[in-house]
Amino acid sequence: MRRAQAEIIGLLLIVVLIAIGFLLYIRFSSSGSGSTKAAFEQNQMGQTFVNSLVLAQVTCDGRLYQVRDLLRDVATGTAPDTCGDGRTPERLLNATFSDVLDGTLGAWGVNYRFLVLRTLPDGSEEPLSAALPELRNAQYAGTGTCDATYRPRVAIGRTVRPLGLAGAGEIEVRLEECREKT
Amino acid sequence: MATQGRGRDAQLAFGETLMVIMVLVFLIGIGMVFYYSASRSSLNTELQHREDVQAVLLAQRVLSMPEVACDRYAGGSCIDSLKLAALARMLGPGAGHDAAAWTTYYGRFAEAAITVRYLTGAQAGQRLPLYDATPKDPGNFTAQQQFIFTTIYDPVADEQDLAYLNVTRYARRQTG
Repeated sequence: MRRAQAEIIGLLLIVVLIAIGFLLYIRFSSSGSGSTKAAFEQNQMGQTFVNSLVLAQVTCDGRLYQVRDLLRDVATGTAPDTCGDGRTPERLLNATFSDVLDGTLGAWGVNYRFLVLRTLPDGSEEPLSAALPELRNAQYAGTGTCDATYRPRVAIGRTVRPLGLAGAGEIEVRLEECREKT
Repeated sequence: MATQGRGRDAQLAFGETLMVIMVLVFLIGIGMVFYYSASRSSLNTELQHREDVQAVLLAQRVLSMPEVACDRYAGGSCIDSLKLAALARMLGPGAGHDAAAWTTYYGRFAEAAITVRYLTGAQAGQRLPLYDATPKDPGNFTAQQQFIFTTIYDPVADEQDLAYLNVTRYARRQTG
């Protein structure tokens, strides 16, 4: 009788210890604040980047254009043929985006992909112009980019700034930041 | 003989109980050490995250200050270049330094360094230090750096350039 009681107490102890271990695991595994914070910071940088970039001005053909206006003009075919320095508006925009990204996100080691797309009324997407190719962090050439093979292993923060085109869909200025899942 | 045997049985039972208690105490001790170290590490991580978020909030506070914000709605965050230059003069170490203003902003920003860097336009690549209260004993502080993009509007030339704020916030290192 006494032996049976001792065994029951032993079993209870084991159950209690397992329950305590399980509770500790739940307590320390569910905090998740790191990912929340990373997402918050990522959103801050991406959103402020895209929102500010489209408002910045560039000089084309002796006139100041906001980036968003020049993109719209490129999309609707109303942009000047050249910007006065021999470059087309697309080349000027591409050089501006490239310089800015290299000097900021690229220099800070952010693994990014930057695209300017045209979204057609039927929902399909295509690059706005062949002269505006997607830009990536050159330091991450190879596996570290937001490509299809890498996508399953990274957390992608996507920031999109749509610019409406009257009756002809919209332009999407998109910045994707790829980070290793932690 | 029988009394001796019973005494030995009692000693064995006592020893067994003692061993069980010792093992239990050992297990509870290990559990406590594990819990203490885990909660300490979790607390440190939490503190670090809070400091990082504080740095982001500080950068946002700078952007929303009426002292530097654009008077016109620009469609996003916008800093007036004239207001920015005036504030930088007041808070900088040069001739226009205003000690009272410095004290006021120290109350808002505490130990931090805020620099604006132009990315496009005529001043592309230039840095404008806005506020610098870098601690004299940086070893006792942890630093969190944040970058927030904005546009800088020049009301004289009517130009809007891209720039970013580099905000470094220093937090006193937790001891113990």
